[in-house]
Amino acid sequence: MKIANMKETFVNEWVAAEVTKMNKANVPVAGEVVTHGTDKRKVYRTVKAYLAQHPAARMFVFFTGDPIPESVEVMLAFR
Amino acid sequence: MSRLCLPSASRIKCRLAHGGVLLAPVSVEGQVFEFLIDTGAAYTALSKDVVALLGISIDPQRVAAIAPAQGKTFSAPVITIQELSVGGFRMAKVAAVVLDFPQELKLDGVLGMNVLRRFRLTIEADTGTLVLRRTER
Repeated sequence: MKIANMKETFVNEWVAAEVTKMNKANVPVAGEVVTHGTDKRKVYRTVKAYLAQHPAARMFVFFTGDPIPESVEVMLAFR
Repeated sequence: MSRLCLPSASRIKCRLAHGGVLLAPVSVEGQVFEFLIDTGAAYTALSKDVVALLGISIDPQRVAAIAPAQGKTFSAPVITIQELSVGGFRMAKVAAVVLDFPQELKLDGVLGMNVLRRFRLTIEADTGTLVLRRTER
């Protein structure tokens, strides 16, 4: 499945996919969905277990929605 | 930070979110996450979730004082990423701070100037493209 399709299919969810195709800028463009859901901790636990069984796997973990809620503004500068 | 492999240039189509912030895929220890591009951050930052997932050890003695844009200075652990890759540029031994991002922010990391300053950096904000060019240093 294309990464773009995952973003349309799993709206406002965390998705973890095993990468099957990267473009020339090393950006993942396709993969097999391993897990998805709104509970980030649960998704990460599943990824950890998956990597334990498939140590050579390259995973792409991302949130499909806006990472910053509409009502929130951020200034992340730190030094 | 040392270099392992550098192409001459890379154009990275980022995801534009929240009216203009850029999210770019960044590979950390071989696994890929979306990081916010932050030219105002001195350091690259990883979420605690990513650090735990990758099994990166935290030395409690190695901390940095972090001064956010507003609010009190606080201490955060500093780790060394053995390999970080963005746009096909691979870098070894990259320092990063470990942050506990607020739950409202669905972020796994921030790509800060300790990485970005290694490149001639152009942000094409209208198309959400990050252009990294190799510098001769």
